[in-house]
Amino acid sequence: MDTTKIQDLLDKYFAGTSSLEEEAILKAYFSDPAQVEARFKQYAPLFQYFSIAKSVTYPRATLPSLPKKRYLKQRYYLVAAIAASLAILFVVSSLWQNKDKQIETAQIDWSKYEITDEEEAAQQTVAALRLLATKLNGSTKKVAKEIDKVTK
Amino acid sequence: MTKEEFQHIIHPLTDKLFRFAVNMMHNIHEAEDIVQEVLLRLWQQQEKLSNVENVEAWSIRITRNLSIDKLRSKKKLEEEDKLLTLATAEDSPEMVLYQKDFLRHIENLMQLLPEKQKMVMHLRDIEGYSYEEIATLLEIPLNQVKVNLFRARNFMRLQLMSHDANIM
Repeated sequence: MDTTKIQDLLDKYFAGTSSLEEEAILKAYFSDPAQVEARFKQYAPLFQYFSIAKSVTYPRATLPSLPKKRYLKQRYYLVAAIAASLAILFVVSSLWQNKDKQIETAQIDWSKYEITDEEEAAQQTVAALRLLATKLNGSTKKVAKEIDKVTK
Repeated sequence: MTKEEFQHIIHPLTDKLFRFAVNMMHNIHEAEDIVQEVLLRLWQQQEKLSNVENVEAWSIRITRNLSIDKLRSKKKLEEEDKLLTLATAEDSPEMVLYQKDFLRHIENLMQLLPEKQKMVMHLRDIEGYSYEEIATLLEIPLNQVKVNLFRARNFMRLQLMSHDANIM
């Protein structure tokens, strides 16, 4: 290979201006130690290192054995969400049912209104009888009036 | 996404990720652990994978971040006794010795580079990415890629010249 060209390529390489194609030419040149000129020998290890380093492969052929963890986690969240929804539904419906029952079964405590004083009881009874008598008298008068109308 | 689909997307990248981690960590076992961690993280974010424009860049960024975290927490750069043996079994014993010697030397030099220079040099000279791709992978401006690569190569050149002079 033209050594002038190699020198030019090396200059470009170390200046950081070489293309990938030019770097490939250098790697190919230095891959065969027999053809490398004495003045370039110092650079040979660098390019040979690159080629050997490129051949290193990942020694573990399989992926990590945790692939189902995420599915389990997702399933756990789904089950937890359903359970939480059911629990909320149950609590709300229970409260609602209890509320209805309380309305239905609520009773008036009449003992609170019961008159225990005898005098007051007598007064209330008299008042009630008076009201009744008034109503009955009114009705009697009304009936008499109606009879008069008919007979006239 | 099934495990097979995931593997189809990610498996071709594992060697690159491993080499990147090896270059960063300078230790095969730690690099393996990092790649395992990267794969786990990618799997855990599998829903996002289909929306990611450049899965390779995303994976390398995760590898880079994990490597840097680990390096900074353990200060692994001082370790000199866990050098890789990259020489292949088919080589002759003399060649293996020679390769080991220069590989150790180059590896040591690589480890002396600042993180950014090391990453740029690895992605360019080992993985063969373009400057633009490296800028995307490392999320740095294009000029920084070129500057870091220039500095890294220049450092290597000077070190190789002085090493060569010492041998002679």
